[in-house]
Amino acid sequence: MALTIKTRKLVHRKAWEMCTPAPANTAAGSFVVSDKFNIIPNSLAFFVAGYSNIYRYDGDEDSWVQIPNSGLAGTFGAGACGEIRGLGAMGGVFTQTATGGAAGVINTNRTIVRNLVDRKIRVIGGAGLGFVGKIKSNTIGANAIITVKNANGTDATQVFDATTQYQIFSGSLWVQGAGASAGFGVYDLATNAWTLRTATALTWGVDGQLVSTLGSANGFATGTATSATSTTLVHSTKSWLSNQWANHQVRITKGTGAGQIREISSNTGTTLTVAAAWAVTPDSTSEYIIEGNEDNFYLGGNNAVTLYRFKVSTNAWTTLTPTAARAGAMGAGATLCWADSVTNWDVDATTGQPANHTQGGTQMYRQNGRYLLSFRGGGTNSLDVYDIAANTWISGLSYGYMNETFTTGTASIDFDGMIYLQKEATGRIFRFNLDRWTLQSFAYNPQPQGAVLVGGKMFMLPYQEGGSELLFFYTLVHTSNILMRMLVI
Amino acid sequence: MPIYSSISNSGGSGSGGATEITQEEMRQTLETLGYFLGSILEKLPRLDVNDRVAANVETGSLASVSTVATVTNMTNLNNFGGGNAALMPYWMSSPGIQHAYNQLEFV
Repeated sequence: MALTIKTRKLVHRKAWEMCTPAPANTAAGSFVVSDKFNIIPNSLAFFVAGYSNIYRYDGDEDSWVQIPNSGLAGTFGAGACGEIRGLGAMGGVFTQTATGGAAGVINTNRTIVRNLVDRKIRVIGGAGLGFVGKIKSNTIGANAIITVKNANGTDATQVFDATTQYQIFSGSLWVQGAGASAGFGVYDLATNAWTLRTATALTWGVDGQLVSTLGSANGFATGTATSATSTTLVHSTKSWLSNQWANHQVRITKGTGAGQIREISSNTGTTLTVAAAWAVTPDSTSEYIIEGNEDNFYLGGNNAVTLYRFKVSTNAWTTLTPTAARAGAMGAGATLCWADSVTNWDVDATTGQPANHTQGGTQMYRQNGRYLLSFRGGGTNSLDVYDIAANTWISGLSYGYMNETFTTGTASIDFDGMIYLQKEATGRIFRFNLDRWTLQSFAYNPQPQGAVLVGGKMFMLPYQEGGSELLFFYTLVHTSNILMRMLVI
Repeated sequence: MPIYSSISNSGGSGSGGATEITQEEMRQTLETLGYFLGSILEKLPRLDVNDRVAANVETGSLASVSTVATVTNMTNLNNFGGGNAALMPYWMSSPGIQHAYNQLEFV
């Protein structure tokens, strides 16, 4: 199968299509998120219209189905936000521990309610460490038993037991609530169940953005270790910038210790120091990849400068204390997007260092995965950047065509090095090109809008075939159930 | 008294022989023709001085047709299908994407 795309800009103008309307109107705080990395089958998105009316949208079918009540605390409204993840979160965690097993079989303590055949599964600890394959079959109901197969479809022979720690790419939806004592929780697709997680204990409102730095995205650096200790991995030919990989994760993909994932606490030019000791110390056969830290979520908004970080593994929030505080609060219409796949933002192949990218006299780097970009909102055109590696803010960056301002009702989404912004209820859509560092005109949504509402209303679904990719840009409408899409040309 | 019309006998051999009808039959024929013309005229669209067509749309249920409204805006037009006719231009925009889809080759 191959897809040849012959569309040409100017010749072929972008055009809108009407999709099946959502089962509910958008309301204050309602938002939509999608599987933009195309990890879950059927081109998945979720529309969170409220705590109890949440719907799954299948792009492949252009249809909707309701999912269970979230049960989150607080009152749904402005500030609610969420994120979709490829990793399943049975019981509220990504990493599951088996209760037993055998060759090619993993026993669980989870109540799986659906067939997970062909979902990716990987073992990151214990017996079977390093196994990466697919689910061959699973039982339905309590204490489900999973039979796995190799990536090529043959039966797996690895032996698993009660020490096996595994992750399944079956999908999960994470939601930050709103109002007093706003709740936080996750919906897991495999178990069709919500798990409430530790909340921030804040009264949450105005606007909100929940962002994850998922490891399933592009890797940012790869190589083969030259040596390692129980808490380090050394690649002697590298010349990384000091601590440029802090708060990222390193995953061993091949060789000794394959399958292990560790958070990077610091790095020198040649050495990564990991936050937790290796269970199996890598050696010179170990190939690695440095990725976004899939354990982390970042939460911003609430008309404040404070940024919060949630760790799935510990079920705990941290109020970040950056070296330089953000210069302005994140108001209504603010955005928060992870810059993870910007064209030309790769590590320089010659020096091993990211190219210097100076903005407004402040140094930042063209390093994918390191920054969260945030338009401040609140009627301003201000752009601030959070440096994940250095835990600091770079505020008030200048950029091209920075005349547009954003406030209540502005929606945003990032995809392939672009941040798409739909200005309030005007239907005017821009995109911020991170490589060119400029705001660009993108599209106009002619659909009449209702009363302006806080909340994310845009999502992207990619269609991939034979190395080619089509992007479909979707948007809901303010105070309406209308869903429209557009092929990005 | 018979009269003779100039109506040709289409089924004839081409000799041009006339058909003989009575005055009563002619009257009945004219009445029938008048009835048909009246019926057709009743169903023809009425135009105003600017050649615009006036259309009426029922707003009551079929079981109790009691109200009609002249279609002067999209709100009245909604009554056709019970939906929001204001969206019609946008629904109709969907076929416009074909010019782009035609440039995609799936092999």
